[in-house]
Amino acid sequence: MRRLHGARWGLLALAAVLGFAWIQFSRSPAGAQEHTPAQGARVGLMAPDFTLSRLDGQPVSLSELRGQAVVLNFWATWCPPCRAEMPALERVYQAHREDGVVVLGVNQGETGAAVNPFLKEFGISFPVLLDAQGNVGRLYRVQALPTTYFIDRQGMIRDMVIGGPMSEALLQSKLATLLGE
Amino acid sequence: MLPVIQIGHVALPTKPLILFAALYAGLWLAGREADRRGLDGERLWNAGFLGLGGGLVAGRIVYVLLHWSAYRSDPLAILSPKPGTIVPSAALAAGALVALGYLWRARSLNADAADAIALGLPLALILIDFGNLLNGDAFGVPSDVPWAIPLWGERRHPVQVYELLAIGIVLIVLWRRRQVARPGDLAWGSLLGYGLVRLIFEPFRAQSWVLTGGYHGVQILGLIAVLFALWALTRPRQPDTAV
Repeated sequence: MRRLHGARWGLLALAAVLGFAWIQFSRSPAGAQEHTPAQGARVGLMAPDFTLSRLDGQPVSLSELRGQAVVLNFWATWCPPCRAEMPALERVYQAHREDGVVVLGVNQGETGAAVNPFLKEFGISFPVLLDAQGNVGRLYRVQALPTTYFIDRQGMIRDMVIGGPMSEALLQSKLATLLGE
Repeated sequence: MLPVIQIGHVALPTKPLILFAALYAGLWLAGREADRRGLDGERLWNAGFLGLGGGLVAGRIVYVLLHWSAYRSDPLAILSPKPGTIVPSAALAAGALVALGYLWRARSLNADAADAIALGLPLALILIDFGNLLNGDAFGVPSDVPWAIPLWGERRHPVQVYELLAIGIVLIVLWRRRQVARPGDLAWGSLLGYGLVRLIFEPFRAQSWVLTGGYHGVQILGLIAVLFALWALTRPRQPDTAV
């Protein structure tokens, strides 16, 4: 009985020693993960950079906006939930632009002739970029419209919402997290 | 990768769908095992779906409370939940409490029920790992091993596959032991198996909870689970009563 008792504690001690040895051997170099974040269109990775033109032809790069929180919204005029959430996006932009928040609309596959009347109708003042070939949409793996990424001041994607329409409260809650960090 | 399934104009995010499929599959196997043990498998189904409902509601309430300043002016938006607008840890804790509370009230919280659940859990985890592979979630650290997979701009350890296979082995072992194990031992075996998986494979995950000194927090929790389960599994057996 005593031998069995000893074997039991021996097994536990062996497991503890092997476990600790593996934990010690496999630990990460300090800070390695923080210094080398990968790029990709998912939460926790750096937002891939791109350059697109505004309706007036002026180019805008995502990397130029580093230091500001970015709400990157992929949309199209023919998409009902995209249309429905536009007023909320505009209100959030107006409320937080002084706090360093940029709402960036990336229109998918349409021309300025189709987009301009829509922006006037809805009174949209945040920058809208034209992704006529859908290259940036593919870069961000957009498979459904609207898709919205929330990017922090360091350029990291902190959250994303697939589908819509997003309510103003939802947008405010996501921004509060983004600005609070 | 397949983060959404498009059906006509409707985009269904795959992550919640796979989580639901995992819960369903886990409950199916747990219910079957409960029936085999002479328990009422229906109660496990009830516990699972009550836990799901309770977890979703609690996770949503905690999210709204945390962002009350945003929802105060638009209370109707509270009723419009979307994936990403619940707090997962609160949902998980509340869901588990509701399910356990139901089983306790139904006088079904015993070692046999724990064993049945322990058999369903690895099947659910296998589906979750498959979903992670499909979505590119819970991805591995960069690597140049020949079996590395290209993901998020780099070749990486296919850590989702490692975990899927390891939990598959845990499931096979538990399945083969289910008729000979002492009551409660499948539950401890499941804890031992999952603890080992976390202990061994956590360092291969790119987005891991890293503590001071580079130690992986989940790995330490995995080791604690392994030691606790081993301690329980090796406890002395009661001698059989002579007839």
